[in-house]
Amino acid sequence: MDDLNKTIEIAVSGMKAQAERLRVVSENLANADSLPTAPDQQPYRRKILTFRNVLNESIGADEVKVAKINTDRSPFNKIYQPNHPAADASGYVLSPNVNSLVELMDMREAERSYQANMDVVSTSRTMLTNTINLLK
Amino acid sequence: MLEDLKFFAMAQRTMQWLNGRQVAIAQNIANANTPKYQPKDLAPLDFKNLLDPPAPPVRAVATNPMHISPVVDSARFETVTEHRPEESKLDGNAVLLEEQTKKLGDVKDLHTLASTLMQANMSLFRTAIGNGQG
Repeated sequence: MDDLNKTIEIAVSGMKAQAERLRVVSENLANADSLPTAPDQQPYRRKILTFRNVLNESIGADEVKVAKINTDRSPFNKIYQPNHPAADASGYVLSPNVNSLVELMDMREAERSYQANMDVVSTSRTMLTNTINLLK
Repeated sequence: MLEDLKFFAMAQRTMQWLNGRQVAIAQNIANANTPKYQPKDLAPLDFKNLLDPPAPPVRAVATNPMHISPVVDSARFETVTEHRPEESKLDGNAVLLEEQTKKLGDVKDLHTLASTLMQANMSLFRTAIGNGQG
């Protein structure tokens, strides 16, 4: 019984981590077109998050935590738009280094992992119910 | 009382093993995207192990109510970390969600089997005892 409750706790930590990942993805996608307003400013920089496993002492098992939200250091894209207020001398504007295809991929992966964690919760609940039904 | 019967002892031990395995699987699935994470699993439950479980660890006896009695720890099973570099992703994570989901299904089925068997045997007892009317 206790083990099964632990299981649910672990799966919930996974779901939380994946939800946070989805939040970062949505931030990136929403800001995919956030351009600077002056030539010396920078556009939105893509964010990346990494996971790490943390030993939860009270249950003695590895949970997941979001380790850090970093920024993607790849170079910005450039678009030719001479009439833009942020255009440089040669007419180029820096645009965010967000690739919506990559973000969508990330989103799908987060969705799958979330689903898998959800399956763990529902399986554990079935097992708990089975055990409780022994009392009937 | 019921644990004295071999059948119940075995069913109970199977269920304990399944619970422990479920914890291992939950950790693997939760860490499916953690870099460098290697999946773990419990050592398979063989018949010998099932029939007579290894002796519990030695501990001091509490002879006085003032003694701090040790927490009853649940049955221990050996955890194995799987090392399969050929299955790893680029970030060094070796969890295959499909494989873990399959294990999850196995655990669920076996648990249903064990608990149903236990319930069936319990109802045999009830039949033997009768409803108290001779």
